[in-house]
Amino acid sequence: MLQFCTFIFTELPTALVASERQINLQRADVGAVYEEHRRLLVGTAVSRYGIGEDDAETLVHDVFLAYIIKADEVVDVRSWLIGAICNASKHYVRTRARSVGLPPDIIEEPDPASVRVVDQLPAELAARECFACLTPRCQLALRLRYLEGYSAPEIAAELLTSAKYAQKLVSRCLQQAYDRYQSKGAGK
Amino acid sequence: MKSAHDSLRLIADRLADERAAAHSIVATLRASLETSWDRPLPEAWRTLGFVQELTTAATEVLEQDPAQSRALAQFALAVGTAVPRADYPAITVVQLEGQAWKTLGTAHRYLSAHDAALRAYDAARRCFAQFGALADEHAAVDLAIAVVFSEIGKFDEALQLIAKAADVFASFSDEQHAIQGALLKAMIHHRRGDLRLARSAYEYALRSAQHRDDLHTLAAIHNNLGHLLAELNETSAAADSLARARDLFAGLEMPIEVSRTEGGLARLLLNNREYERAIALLQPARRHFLSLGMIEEAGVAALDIVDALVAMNDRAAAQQLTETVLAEFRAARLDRAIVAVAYLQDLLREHPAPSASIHHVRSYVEQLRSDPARVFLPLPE
Repeated sequence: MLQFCTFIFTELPTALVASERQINLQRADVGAVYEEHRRLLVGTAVSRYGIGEDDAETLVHDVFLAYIIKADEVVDVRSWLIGAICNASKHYVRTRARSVGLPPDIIEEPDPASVRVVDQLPAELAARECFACLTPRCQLALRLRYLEGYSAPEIAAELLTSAKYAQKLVSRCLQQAYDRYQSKGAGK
Repeated sequence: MKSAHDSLRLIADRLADERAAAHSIVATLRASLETSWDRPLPEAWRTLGFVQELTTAATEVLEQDPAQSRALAQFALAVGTAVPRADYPAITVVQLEGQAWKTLGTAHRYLSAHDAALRAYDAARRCFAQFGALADEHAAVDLAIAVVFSEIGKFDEALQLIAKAADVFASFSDEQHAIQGALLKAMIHHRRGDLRLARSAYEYALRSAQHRDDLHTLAAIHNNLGHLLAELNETSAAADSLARARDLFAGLEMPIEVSRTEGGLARLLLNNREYERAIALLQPARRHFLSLGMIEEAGVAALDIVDALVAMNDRAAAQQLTETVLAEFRAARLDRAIVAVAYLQDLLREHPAPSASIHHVRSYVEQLRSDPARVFLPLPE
């Protein structure tokens, strides 16, 4: 018996190969679709999942923002929007279920997220400015290393190079960030 | 409610404008991407519309040039890092970044870099998991991960992911992804050798796909079903199915898939002892693969021709072709494949009935594409 195993699997969304058409749909459809379906979606979140009206409106807004990007791939708009609001509502309910009530005297306490804001905020802003100064190669390398947690061998596999060179690239990019951020500061 | 409506229109118009501005730049960038990596990013490129255009371009070239697809998706992520996030809704940022990661994962998968593919898919998952409204995008990544799992033999994990994703696709009435899940499930049964289950799963996928305008998926199902029917010795039905697949791929202007499907038809002819007709199909397919630098696939086609030549008692031509394949594999540094073909070369010189070994080597070389670390073991004497 001969072997027959040239499998073909396809996962190319036809919409993604029609860029210009997609741009036009993205622009034209959303207003009309929003007007037509908003009430239904808010009603679904409120009545089926017990979500308050304000939060339901926020979820519906997210659903339409997601729809803007997907517009050309969606065949049955109504079904897709209902699916999206149901999944968004379930996610919301799951997240809320993990929340615990705060004691009444918490009002006197500072928000823990803002305790280190004086140190943290400038550092975050500086980091963002640093990233903005870099070449795309360094942006990718530092993103992989520090935002996604890739190891040097993983960066090497991504960039088709050796682990040693990947390590060197990260160091060089850190230096580039430092130098460019410094000279930007001096320019001011 | 006017304000929510207006803000949606604003963001839709903004993204559309950014994409329109990026469209021609990205088209030019495809030819000069290598030099752009080390130049500062122009301010005007730092938009989500630019990221979306790059991701779309990466998807467009995936079939023809997965290496360029990977580079474009990586560039999309680099640009995404430089985009001022506060200027866009959070869900839009993570949706477009998630799509770039997913496209990068798929490009890696096409290049058989499974670990890199899984890392990229995992990053995509983390993006989409932040918003419930992106559940269908998340499920599409799960399906893509299931493809990788099926390629590396993690069949149970793949089936679990397919089942999980199927529920989400059903909730969105997303038929296209649902059919792709059904196709993948059928392929897993097929790879496992459970031909009965595979057949019913392919037939289910075919029924679902037939009323849709998705000729690509339909062609893939016909192709795989054709191979399965051939294994079940239903030659005539197999030939019909493969011919349908070939015609659909030809209509879609996918010449690589046409050549692959013709390879399947040729193997059917070989099975039917129609050697000359098989060679007539295999030779142009082999030339096509060679012209595209697809050395392993060209080698697989050549090994089918070797099989036919041996069956026609033309041992000298079979040996000569095997030597040519060996030289091609050496030039491409396909070390593991070289070992297997060198073994076959020796065998063809002395073995009276090398047919089983030819099939064994052919199957090994084909499997190397999905399992590059696989070690070659000769058939027991």
